[in-house]
Amino acid sequence: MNESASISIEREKLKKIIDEAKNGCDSAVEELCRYLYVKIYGYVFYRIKHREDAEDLTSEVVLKIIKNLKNQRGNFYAWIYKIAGNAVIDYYRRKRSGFGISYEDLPQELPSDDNHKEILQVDRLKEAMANLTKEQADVITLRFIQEYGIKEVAQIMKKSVGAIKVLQFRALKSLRDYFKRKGYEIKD
Amino acid sequence: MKLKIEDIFDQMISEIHKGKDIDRILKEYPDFAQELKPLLSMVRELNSLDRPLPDENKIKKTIIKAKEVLKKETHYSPFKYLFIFQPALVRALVVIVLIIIIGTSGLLFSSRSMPDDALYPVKIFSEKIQDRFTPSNDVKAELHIRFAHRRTDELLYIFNKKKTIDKNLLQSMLNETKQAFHCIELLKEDRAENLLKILAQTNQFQKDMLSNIKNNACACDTGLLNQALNMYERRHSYLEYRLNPDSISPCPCDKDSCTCW
Repeated sequence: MNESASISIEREKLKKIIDEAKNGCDSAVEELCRYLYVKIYGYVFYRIKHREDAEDLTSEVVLKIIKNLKNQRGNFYAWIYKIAGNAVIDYYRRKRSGFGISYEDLPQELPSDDNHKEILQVDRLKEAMANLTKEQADVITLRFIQEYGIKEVAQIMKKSVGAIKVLQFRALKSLRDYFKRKGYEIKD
Repeated sequence: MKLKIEDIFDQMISEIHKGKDIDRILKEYPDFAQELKPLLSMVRELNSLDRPLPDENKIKKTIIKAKEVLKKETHYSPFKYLFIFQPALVRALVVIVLIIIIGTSGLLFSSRSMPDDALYPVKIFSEKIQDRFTPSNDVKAELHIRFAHRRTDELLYIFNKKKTIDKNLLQSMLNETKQAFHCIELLKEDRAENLLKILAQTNQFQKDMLSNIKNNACACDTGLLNQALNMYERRHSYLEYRLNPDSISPCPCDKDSCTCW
């Protein structure tokens, strides 16, 4: 099955669940919450250092989505990731930090013994992601962590496919440069 | 058409997702191999990362909270649903129509209000607005005569209720007829005559009403009522004189410099 076919089935199923949840069906609400929690957690996880904070933020975003479900129009994924993106920004604002400024909660350098050198650790990726622009971090998360296709990412981020390809290229280059600067090697 | 490096790179990512080896992919684009190899390695590493798995307990807690949120939403204000699914223009129209309905019904209710009602200031304010936006003097004169009748009813209502004369209402009653008279004075003779007749009737009606009240009024109001009755008497005489210029005016004033008004 190709990528677009799998997405359309997922969307159809999701639409049905959303409609049922809007009508107050308990099992639909449960299924939708579970689906959203996993999606949003995957998005938030690499943006926030502490797992507990990421979980709390995910819960906050899911509740916001559920609360405003009846008012939702347009692309559902664009809408939920917009809410999640804003929640991450608010989180850093609350912590007086932000994208591309600092990631002060994280240690500046992680241990670089032989066991760690060739592994792209979760914490290292989190640290590197904090040094990307918000759009670059969004592309990395959506394309490689959430595994959306390039067209899907373009729809979610409300940009052209060409713009996403450029962002994707630059984001990976920035990540690679960051790792190189820090001496974290990636096995070729 | 020559492909850009970003396009080629994206095609390579798709190949990696299909499970192809990086070196085999790069063989097709030898010119870009050196530049893109580290980036493709990065992609491979990202793909091999463990996907974060959320805590099941946290999900369950969120589900419980979500159900509570939805329950609260269903018990929320019924007006909320008036605006759901409506485009912005329709919402704006609904708000405008609601304002018009509330405003009109408020004015309707206020027009029947009495001085001790909460809506009475609205009634007075709407009268001022009506007066301000009425362009012609004959309509203005009719308007002030109507307001004078309202003040008469209000004065009577307060007197019946409190057995006292409301000085402000009495003053307003006199003022309304005065303003009606000044508007009539600006009209042509034929139109002015009809309105002067109506004003004379109003003046007589108010004078009779005050005379009736005087018999039952408190002694403390007698002075005030006498002053007002004297003024009504003088106005009555002057109106008689205006309507019948051949008659001898008992009004002490000259036609052009009458101070009764």
